[in-house]
Amino acid sequence: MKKFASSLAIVSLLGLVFPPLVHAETEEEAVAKGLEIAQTAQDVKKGFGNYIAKQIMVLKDRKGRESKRELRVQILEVEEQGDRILFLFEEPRDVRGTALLIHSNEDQPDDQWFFLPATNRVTRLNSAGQSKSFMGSEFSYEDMNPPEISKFTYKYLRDETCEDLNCTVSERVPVSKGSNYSRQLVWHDDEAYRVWKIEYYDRRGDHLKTLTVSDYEQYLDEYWFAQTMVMTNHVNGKSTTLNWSEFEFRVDLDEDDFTQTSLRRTR
Amino acid sequence: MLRTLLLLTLGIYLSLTVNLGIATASDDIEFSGTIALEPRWFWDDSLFGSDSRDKGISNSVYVMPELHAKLTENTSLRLVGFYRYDETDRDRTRGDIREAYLVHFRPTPFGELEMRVGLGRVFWGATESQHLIDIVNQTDLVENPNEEFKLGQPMIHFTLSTESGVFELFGLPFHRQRTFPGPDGRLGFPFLIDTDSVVYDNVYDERHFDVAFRYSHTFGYLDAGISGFVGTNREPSFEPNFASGLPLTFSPFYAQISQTSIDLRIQHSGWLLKFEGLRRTGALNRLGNTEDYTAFVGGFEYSFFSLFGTVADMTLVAEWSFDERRERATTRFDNDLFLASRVSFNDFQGTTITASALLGNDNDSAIASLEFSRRISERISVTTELVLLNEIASDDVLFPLKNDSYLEVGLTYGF
Repeated sequence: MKKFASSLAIVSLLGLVFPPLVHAETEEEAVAKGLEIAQTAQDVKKGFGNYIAKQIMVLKDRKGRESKRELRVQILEVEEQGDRILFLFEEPRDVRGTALLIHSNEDQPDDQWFFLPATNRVTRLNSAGQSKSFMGSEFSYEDMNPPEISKFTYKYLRDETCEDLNCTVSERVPVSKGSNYSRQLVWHDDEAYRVWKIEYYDRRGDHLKTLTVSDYEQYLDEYWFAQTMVMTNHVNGKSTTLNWSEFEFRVDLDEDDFTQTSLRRTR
Repeated sequence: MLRTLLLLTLGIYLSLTVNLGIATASDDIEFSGTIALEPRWFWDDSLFGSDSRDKGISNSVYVMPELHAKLTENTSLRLVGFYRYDETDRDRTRGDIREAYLVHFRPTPFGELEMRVGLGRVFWGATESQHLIDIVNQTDLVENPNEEFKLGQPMIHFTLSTESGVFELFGLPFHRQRTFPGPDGRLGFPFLIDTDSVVYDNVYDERHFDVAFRYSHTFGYLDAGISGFVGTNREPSFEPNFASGLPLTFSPFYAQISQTSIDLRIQHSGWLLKFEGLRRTGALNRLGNTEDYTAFVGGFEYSFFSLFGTVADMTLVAEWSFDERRERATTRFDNDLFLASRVSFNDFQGTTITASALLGNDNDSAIASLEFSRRISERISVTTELVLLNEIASDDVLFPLKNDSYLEVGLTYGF
């Protein structure tokens, strides 16, 4: 049995060293195709302008116990720069009124500020804390930040069926050394370049978490947004479900609504 | 004046909450609040004062209702009331309007202009051990000796946010007196403070019109601010009030001062460097003489994430406070080292534990505290605070509090 297992290991090792010849692409082609998929997926998402939405987070531990979080989210696209995101915490009550502002940056760590209503204090968040859990959930701050193109290098791996659609599976490797991940595998469909699944691998290369995305709906006759996202942690057995609802697009929001001054006005 | 304001706010409050059935259904008016039970246990008799300052458990409860109303797209109203009942200290049983203001903002060619009118709360500063430069709001000292709690300050506040920084101007038409524990309350003074016989250093008394400005900007990794204040000091001195007869009482005295300050925060790969410095003129020192002085507090924070392979993180803080008046300083931060460690467990219950110590470099004083907080349901959380004061040296400003170590176990309900 042991011998069988080790020969299996050798076979799978061989598989790593000599990838199956089905994929005729060279390394360069795979890299170019990976980037192209990521770029297209990014491009088709562009142009919504801004939106507000409600986010309900359900945290589940290994024993099935649940805990709920409720947030309001505002997102603004900014030309030639990263997105601006504002999270307003509603539940649980002891964090009500707390707000998190993110200025996503293309080629440097994102800027993040917290507003604490009890002291009317705006504090900048440590950018090294990317691995930190977001509100005790299985999403880290890094996972909540928008995946700007320049934050990763890409490689197309293979085609696969997902949710009755044709999907591509690409690998993306975070550029930042501060990232919690060595690599991520992303499933995009061929039709509208929607993300259906992301596998996260930690710095040791172990499969840490899986995000599955579902219930896509089309808004403004063009943009697809998912209503359900489930992040499962394979190491601690916990999971977090994000339910998005009450989307409103192209509301009266501009850059002035995403400043440290406006952060003080969220309460 | 304050009582009228409080009644007025309560009136507006009640009339708005009567319509709550409609109000809560709408996004434009939001009503919420907190009720908390906060018993404190003192295990030693106080060094000074009456029998009511003897050891034992003192019960206390507060309610803090909040109302937020969006009046137009660019205008909103915010009201935060506060009322505490304290079993032993009559001076701690009191109400305050923490916030009651209208805020309006509009774009201008230079950037967004925001105007606030009413009672507000403004925070200036960067450090954790003390809020040296934070002068706009008066300290609500009777609430907690840590000076973290502030009274609502009447103000007109303009904020212009431009590409090259944020410019703020404050008009502060009314001075509010610092609150103090009463003769029956713990953490009090060895002498009686008569806040009704307050003395001001100007002809307008508490109606002196104070002004303040602030400029702040973010330069890459650096957040910086320069602020200035001219007006009535928030920190009082005490004068014997011989007219009051026996027992002798003391009157708070508020000098006219000016203050210039800077604050810096530099954030880079896990490190956070912090600095606050000020120059204050016109204030009285511990001997009762006018002495201009410079004081600063600076230090760092370093965070360890994913502690021992868990989701917990730990932040270590070290800060040094210095006041050039040294033994003539009116605060405990004359030459002190502050060390703290905060562990956030990042669990369902949001558990955090903070341990801190303030160590005197000029004397052997040491103050330590241990705080613990954890949610026990979606609406209820527990906060525990252990404050140890028994190592305060006899020449320290806080010496009268030497026997006032306490344990507070708070239960907070959010509605």
